[in-house]
Amino acid sequence: MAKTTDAFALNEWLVIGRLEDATHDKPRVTRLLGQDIRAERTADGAIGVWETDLAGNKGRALPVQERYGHIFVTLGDTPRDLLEMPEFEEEGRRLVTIGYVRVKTSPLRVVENFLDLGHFPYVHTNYLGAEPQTEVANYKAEIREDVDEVWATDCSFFQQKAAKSATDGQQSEYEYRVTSPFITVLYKTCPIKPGAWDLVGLFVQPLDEDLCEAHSFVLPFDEENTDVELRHFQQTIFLQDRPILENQLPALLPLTPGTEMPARADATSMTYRRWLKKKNITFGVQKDAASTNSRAA
Amino acid sequence: MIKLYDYPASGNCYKIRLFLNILGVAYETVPVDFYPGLEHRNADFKAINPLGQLPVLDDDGFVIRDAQAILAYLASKYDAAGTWFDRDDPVALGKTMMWLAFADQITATSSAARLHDVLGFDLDVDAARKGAHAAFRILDDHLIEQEFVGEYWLAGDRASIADIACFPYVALAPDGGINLGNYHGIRRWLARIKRMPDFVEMPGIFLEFDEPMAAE
Amino acid sequence: MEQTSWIVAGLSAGLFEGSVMPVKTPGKDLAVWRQRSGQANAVEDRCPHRGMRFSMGFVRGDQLACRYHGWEFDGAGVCKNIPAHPTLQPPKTICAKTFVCQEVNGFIVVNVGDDGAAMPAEYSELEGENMVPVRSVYLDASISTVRDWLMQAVFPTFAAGQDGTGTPVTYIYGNLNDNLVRISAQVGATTEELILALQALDDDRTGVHVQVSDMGSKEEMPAVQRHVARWLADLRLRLESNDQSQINKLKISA
Repeated sequence: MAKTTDAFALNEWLVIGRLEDATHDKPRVTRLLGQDIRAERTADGAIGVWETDLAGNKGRALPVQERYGHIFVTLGDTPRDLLEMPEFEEEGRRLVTIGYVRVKTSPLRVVENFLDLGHFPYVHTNYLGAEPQTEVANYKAEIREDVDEVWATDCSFFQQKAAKSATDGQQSEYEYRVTSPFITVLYKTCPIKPGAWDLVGLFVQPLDEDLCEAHSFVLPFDEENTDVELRHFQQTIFLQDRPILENQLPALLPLTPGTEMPARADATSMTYRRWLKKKNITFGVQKDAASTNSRAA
Repeated sequence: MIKLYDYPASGNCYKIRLFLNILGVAYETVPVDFYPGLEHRNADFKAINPLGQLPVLDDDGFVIRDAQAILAYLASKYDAAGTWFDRDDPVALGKTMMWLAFADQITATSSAARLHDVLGFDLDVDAARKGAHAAFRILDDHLIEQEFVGEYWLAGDRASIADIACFPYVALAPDGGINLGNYHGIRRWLARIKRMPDFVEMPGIFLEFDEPMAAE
Repeated sequence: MEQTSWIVAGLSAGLFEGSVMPVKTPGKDLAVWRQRSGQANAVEDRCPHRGMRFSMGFVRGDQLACRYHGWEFDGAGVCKNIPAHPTLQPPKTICAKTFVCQEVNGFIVVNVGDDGAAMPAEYSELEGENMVPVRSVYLDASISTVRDWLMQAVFPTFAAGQDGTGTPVTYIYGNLNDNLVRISAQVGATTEELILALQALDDDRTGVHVQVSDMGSKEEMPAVQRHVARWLADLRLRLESNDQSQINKLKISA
């Protein structure tokens, strides 16, 4: 597809890879919102990102931020601010980037799945949940108008292996924060440090409306596990979600009421959808309510 | 103790984990940063396996590579009843070896398509999918003929290491955009494998939940 | 023949108890599943909750559960259990779209329309025929093309292969309706019959669900099934070859 005309999506800061994914020798050649782009490390050490044409020729240079271990760019002229995560400055935390998983679905479906507690026993069986402890207790979901973010708080779920460093099951406390249609952060009880929260972040790179790459990181207090072990745990979780995400009909997220039937446990998802609607975002959103049972085979 | 150089998302590593679990043999894993670290391509790992491939098994100093070879080794050493790899009957041995070799064909096609679709590896995904469908048709035709005579497994009337070897990258094929919907023999065979005692899953392969799981 | 909204979705024997399979039809994907107690059902392949394909789900007792959140639905598509809220009686408004599904002498037959039409008589008339399931094959051709091929296809009978005397075979072709073809092959005093149910997946892919007349003892039938299955595989290969001389070898008229 061609570059989107969705003004909201164009003016977001969006991830396109980890810092180490674009080197001088090996650029990262990818796509964003339907626009082909190329990222490479330039002679002065900074990362440059350009729009490219069908032949791969560089066109317009794009604004770039190197933050949180990742490369962010925007295609718009008046971008909203990239989220702030002060936890990155805290002593004792460790950043582990996970890499990406490519998923053939709307980037909005990927974010919504990340906000979902009810699927733990069925999709992440014995990792993030298991029968018979399937209940999703009431929690609070809201749009925080002052910061223009979606938050879900007071979430809790019984988990077998809540994080790589957990050995027994525990009641995990969760908070979710959505700062952009494509960016969300999970704050989760730290199994080894009472009172502290571990971070799991999801940056979704929207390639097209129905194709994305889910980049993620963890920022835990953890002294027991190697980076590779933490990576493997998160990759396992994302690869468990992937077959679900690729088999939802339609691939694009429906915002029309009645197309999908939520339950109370879906309060975060409902709030997220309401927030998207308020923003008039169309990228990754189902256009025609009649085409619910279609998806390119 | 047995040491398995392992990547959780690898179907070839998974078949070893699955078989070790079925045999009830304890092991520990050495996690290898296959992605995004590409650790299997570095010199340290190539000192363990010059092919730069996973899995590798280290059984008390005996180091062996190649998933199918590892299955044969484990069956020969740890399956006291000898049901998983029948080496006494020439016909059974021949059938098992034939389908063990076939597993490589499945890996070369279905696994390649998955690496493209999931991790963005640069390869000819159309050729990979086409090759996988060609292999799956052969497999499906065979499984359907097996059902006619009441033999529900690849190499005979009981599960063998050939089933374990072929299972992962068939079950994971949808990850690579390969639709299994029209392979009914394969569908039923996958379900039979998932219902085996001591079956374990990997990401991308779901457990069967026949009945609600009891509380621990 | 009238257009009918009834299709053959597969062979009964291919769907064991407690399992679910995807069935593609033009413009509509179905999940066909069998309850533990034996009843086959057809439902739109889409959970009303979050659009997840039911065909990836699992059967629990007499209910179909969605893989995503474990929501369970009965044969009528009524939601019976939402695991996230174990004590909640699911609202009656949460329903999956179901389709009338019946089994007729080894075929699973589904009305994919909303017309409430009765099952065409050609299906119910199969009841009581002594048939044995073979398999389903899928061909890259339109349903009309496949039907045309089958209506002149040479079926090398099992009996002819056994007696080796070159007894001539007489073929009779029956087009029971748009989706049903019967091939009768007479060899001497014996008749071998195939019933082939055609199912359009889309404009250029067709499934063929095949049964063969029960001719022999329990010991002999596996060989007959294999014989028919190999003929179907051969047919598929020739049709895919795009080589007219190979295709012509299928035909009675060639």
